[in-house]
Amino acid sequence: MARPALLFPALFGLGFGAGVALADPLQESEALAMLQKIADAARQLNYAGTFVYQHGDQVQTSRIVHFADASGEYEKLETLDGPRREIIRNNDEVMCYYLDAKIMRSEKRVARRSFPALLPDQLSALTTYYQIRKGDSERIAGFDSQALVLEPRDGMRYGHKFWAEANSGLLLKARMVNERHNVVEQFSFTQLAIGSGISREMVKPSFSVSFPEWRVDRFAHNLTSNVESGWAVKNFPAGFRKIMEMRRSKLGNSIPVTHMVYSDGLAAVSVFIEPMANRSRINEGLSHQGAINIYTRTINDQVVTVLGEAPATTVMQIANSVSFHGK
Amino acid sequence: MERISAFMDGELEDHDAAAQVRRLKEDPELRAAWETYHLVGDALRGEAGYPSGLAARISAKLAAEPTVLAPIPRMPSRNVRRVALSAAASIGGVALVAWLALFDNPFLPQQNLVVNQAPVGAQTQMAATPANGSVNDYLLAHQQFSPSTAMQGVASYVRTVSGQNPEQR
Repeated sequence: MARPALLFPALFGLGFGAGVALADPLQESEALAMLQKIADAARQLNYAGTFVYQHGDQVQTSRIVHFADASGEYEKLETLDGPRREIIRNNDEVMCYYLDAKIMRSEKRVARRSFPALLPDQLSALTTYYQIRKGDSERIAGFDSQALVLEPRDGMRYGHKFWAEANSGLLLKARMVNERHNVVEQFSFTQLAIGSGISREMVKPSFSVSFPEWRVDRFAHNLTSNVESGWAVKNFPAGFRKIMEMRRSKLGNSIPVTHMVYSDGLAAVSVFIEPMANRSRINEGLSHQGAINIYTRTINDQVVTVLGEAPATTVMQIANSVSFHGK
Repeated sequence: MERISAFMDGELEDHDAAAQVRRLKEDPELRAAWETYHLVGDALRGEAGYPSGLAARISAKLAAEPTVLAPIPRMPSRNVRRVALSAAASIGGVALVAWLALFDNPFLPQQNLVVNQAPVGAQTQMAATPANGSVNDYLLAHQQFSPSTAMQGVASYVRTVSGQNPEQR
C-alpha cells in the first residue's frame, strides 16, 4: 500500500500529497520541537564557519560568525565572492555595508520575535499546508545531521528541507524547492566550528564608516502608529495571515510607506505601498533577488511592491488583490 | 567613550561638556563613533525629517578646513546645554545636525547650509541613489520577518546583498 501512496505526489509532480501518508510522518508537536531546537541553536550557540548560498545558477560563498553572551547576540557575515559586502548584527540592529558603493543600510528589528513567534497560532496551519516528515541523516561539513522535510500541499508555497546538526540542532543546510522540485535556493555550510574559540572581537565590523565617503540609508519604522492604513489584501493565498502592519519612512523623506507582512509560518510576504511621488523610478512587473520574488504595480498614484520567499504566483496574487478601502 | 555617551545624554556640566567637544575635535575616531552612533543608534529611529547627507557634507567641510577648526570654539555654554538636552530628548539625528551646525556656525559659511537645502542639491542626491534603491530598502525591511532569519540568523540576509541589484526578469 505504501507504493501507490508514494507515487501520488510524483504523478502530479506538484507535491499534492494531501491526505497521503509518506514515510515517517511527524506529529505536529514533534515537528515544532525540531524547528524550535533549530531556532534556539541559531540564537544561543557560538559558531563560525563558511557557507555557500546558491540560487538559480549563482553561487556565493560567505563567512559567518555568531557570538552570544549575557549582553546579547552578535553576528557578522562577510561575502567572500563578488562585491564586498558585510552584515553586522548587534542584538536588534542589522547593518549592511556595501563596500563597493560605500553605502550602509541599517534596519532595526520591530520586536524580538524569536522563532517560532510566528508559529504557535499557526501550527495547525503549518500542518494543513505542509506535509512534514523526517528525512535521512546525512554528513554535512563534517557533522552528522538530521533532516526535516516540509512539503507544500499546494502550489502557493515552496517546499523546505532543513538539515540540523544531530546534537546541537544548529542548521547545517537549508533548501527551498519549487513545485517542480527544482532548487530555488540553498544554504550549506562547507566548514564550521561550534563552541570554543569564538570571541566578541570576531563579530565586529572590519572597518568604520567615515564621512563624506559613506552614505547611510535607513528605512525607519514607526510602530506607535500601528493603525489600519486603509489598505487591505482581499484575496491572499490560503494559510497566509497578516502578522504586522506598520508605517515606515525613508531617511530624509517624511512621506510614509505602508508595510504589511503576511506569513504562513514558513514563508513571509511583505507588501509596501507608497505614493508615486516618493519614487525616482518605478520598474513595474516581476523581478527577483535570490529566491525572493518581487512584483511591482501601480494603483492610481500609489506604487505597490510585494516581495517574499514564495512562488511568483503567490506574490502576484497578493499584489493584484491589494486595494484601498478607506480609513 | 563613556564621557561622550554622558555628553550625548546631557549629563555633563558645561566645562566637562566643553572638554568632550575638544576631544571630539581632536580625535577623528571618536568623531566617527559619535556620528555613527547618532546615525544608526536608537536616537535616530523614527526621525527622518532632515535632509539626508547634511551631516556628511558638514563633516566634509570640517575635514576640508582643519586650520580653521584648530582654535577652541567660543561656544556659548548654553548651546552645549541646549544640544545636550536635545540629545537627551532622543532626537539624536536632528541633534547631530543641530549640534554640528551650532558648533560650526562661527566657521561654516552660511551659504553652505542654504545650498544643502536647495532643490538642486536634493535632486543630485536622488540621482546618486541606485535605481533600485527602494527595493533594496524593502528587501532589508522584509528579511527580519522571514522565518528563515529565525532559523539561521543573518545568514539569510545574504539574499539581500548577493549580486548587484535585483535583476529584472
